[in-house]
Amino acid sequence: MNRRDAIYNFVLLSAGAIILPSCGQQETAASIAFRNFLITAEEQKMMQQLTDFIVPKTSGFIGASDLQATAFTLMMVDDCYAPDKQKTFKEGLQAFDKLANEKYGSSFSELTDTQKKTMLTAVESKKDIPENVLTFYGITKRHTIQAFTSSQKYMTEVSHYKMVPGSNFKGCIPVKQA
Amino acid sequence: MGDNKNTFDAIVIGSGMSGGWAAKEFCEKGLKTLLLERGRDVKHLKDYPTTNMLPWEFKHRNQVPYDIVKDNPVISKCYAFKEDAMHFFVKDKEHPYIQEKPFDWIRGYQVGGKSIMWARQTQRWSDFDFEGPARDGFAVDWPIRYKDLAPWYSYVEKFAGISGNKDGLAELPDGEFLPPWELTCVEDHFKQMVSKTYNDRHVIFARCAHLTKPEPIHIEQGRGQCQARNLCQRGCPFGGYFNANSTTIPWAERTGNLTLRPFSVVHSIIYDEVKGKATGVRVIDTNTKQATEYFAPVIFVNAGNLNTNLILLNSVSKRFPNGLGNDNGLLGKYVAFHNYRASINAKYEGMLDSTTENGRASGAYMPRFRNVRKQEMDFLRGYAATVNAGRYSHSGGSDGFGEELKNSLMQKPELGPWYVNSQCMGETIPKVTNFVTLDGEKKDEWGIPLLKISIDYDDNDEKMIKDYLEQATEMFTKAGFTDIQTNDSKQAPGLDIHEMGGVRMGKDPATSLLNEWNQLHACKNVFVTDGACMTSTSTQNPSLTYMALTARAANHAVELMKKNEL
Repeated sequence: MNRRDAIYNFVLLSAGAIILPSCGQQETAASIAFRNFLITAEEQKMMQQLTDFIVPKTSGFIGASDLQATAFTLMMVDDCYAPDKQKTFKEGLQAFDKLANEKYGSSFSELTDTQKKTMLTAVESKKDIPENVLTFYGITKRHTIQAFTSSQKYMTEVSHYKMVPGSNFKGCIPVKQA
Repeated sequence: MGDNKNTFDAIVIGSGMSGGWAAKEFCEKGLKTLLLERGRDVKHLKDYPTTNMLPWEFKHRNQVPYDIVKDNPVISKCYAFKEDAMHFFVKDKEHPYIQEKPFDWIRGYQVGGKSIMWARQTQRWSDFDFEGPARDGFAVDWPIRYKDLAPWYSYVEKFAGISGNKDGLAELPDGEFLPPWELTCVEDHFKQMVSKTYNDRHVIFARCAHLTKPEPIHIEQGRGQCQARNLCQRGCPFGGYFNANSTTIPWAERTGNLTLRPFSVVHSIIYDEVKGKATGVRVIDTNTKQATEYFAPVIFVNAGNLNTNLILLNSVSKRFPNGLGNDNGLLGKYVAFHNYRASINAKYEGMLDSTTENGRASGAYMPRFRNVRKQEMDFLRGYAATVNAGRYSHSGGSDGFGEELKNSLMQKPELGPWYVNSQCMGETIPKVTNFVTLDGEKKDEWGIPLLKISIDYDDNDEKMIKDYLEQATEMFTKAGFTDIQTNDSKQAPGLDIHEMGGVRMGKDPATSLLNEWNQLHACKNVFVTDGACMTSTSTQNPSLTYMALTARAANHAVELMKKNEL
């Protein structure tokens, strides 16, 4: 486990307490209690599949899974959203998976890549998609992108963030041709 | 009292923008000085916990968590109240006040006060400002003129380090400047258009408290060149901008004459009926709630505008039943502020072959052009305006998902058009109906009465907003800017963080509280040199004027003490 994974796992653990499954339930039923909502292991798995699908890891560059984008999204929803938005998010999460079941016959986690693509294209079109599903998807996508574009690797290698620009401001220079 | 450990040569209440200056001046002159601060200590560098944090190191990516926003409805409105600097602002619940009318009171209780998070704009006043009340018939005449303050502006500018251009404008006098940053292409284009089109309007680079090129005095302070990080609100690891923590307070400390006492809220000033003057202050330790008295022959009140009003109102004695120095009943009245409601933004599709490189910590500025030399509008006074134009890079959009989205996010960022914005900074007219008082019953946890604030806009402010938005639209249109959008935030007074007055200066003890040296007319060894002393507000960001008034008054107090006249 590299340092970043360690930090994000710590964030996940410190944000929520793992609730052990009660007798008789399968191990996968373990839930994570955030301060304001409960996420089952199944739901977390589904969100991980979703965030990985939104910003996938590719051969050249890290993706959502490397950045624990699911844990980041859940932490942001837990800490930075009003209770009514959290409620809609949680309901939308379940409605999202219900939509997968109704339209494609199984949980989002179990869909083929082609089915996932078809479903997300439909969600992005917003046509005949329940409002809470749009809220859930919008929040998840927003924070997945945020986890990606505010990551050290992205800001260092893609957006070239300079914390200390220096004293050499130029107010008017020709645009450099690529 | 001579050898009492609670006795000093001078007491300064408040360690922020102006209090730090009073402490520095007294300590340099050899006075044993007690500097009282109601909040915690904040040491330069050591107590800037977020200063070197990278964007991805903030748990919530600089967003303020919901519970904190919910618990702090007032303070969370401040633009600088973000995850990286929220530890420098008060919590609403810990420091209650009563809003008889909506007023967002933005406070930072710590050593250095709001000088840590200020916007660092430092424009001088001119006689067009000092003569305003007398010419236009509001408030009272200022007892001083530009010539009285000019040498003190120079004095504080040299020490604090102010960057700017010598623009030669009578309405915004030049000062002791370090080199300015450059205007951007489009700011310069705007400047050219404005100077060609209007003979009374000017666009300059805003003067600001940044060390663009440190002088030996700044190196001696341990400060270095501004690196244009634009993360000033966290405290600067280079000491690149002026705050009390990096500049005035350590300078006072190194004389060996300073006693800094954090966690010390002043309950009131002690008035001795026999001596006919103030002898000291009653301090409550904010942690232990223990009361202690401290004594000195001179007391400077720099508690931060409205809190200065509060302390004086709460300093009651047989001689002053309505507050210290308040013989005329005007203490707490004629409070004013700056009108920051209006702004405008637009795009510019020209000059697309040009851009900027690296950063700077300030932008362009338009000094007041309305009613400067004579009354010409249907409202009194006028407004200054910021103007900023820059290009921003965009990576691809956030449409879609998967590799398509990722490729879009990974694209080499493309330069967008020029974005231009401007913010109105309007003078407000001090009125007897804008005032603060003490609540008769409710007290804070230190037993100090809560301040009741009753301050509002008036018709003059509304007319000014309308005129600014019309004029800004006209100027933006003439400059070829497009997609022009005007905005009136309707924000409450207070959010401008420029509240002023209540203990105004004036010539006549019947109509003012302070004389031309910032001494209470009726209690000459008490000086008020923070924003509370302001007779009118003009349009300029006021901190530089507080600093100059403080240095001037402190040096005058030392002269009087030498002559045994305090």
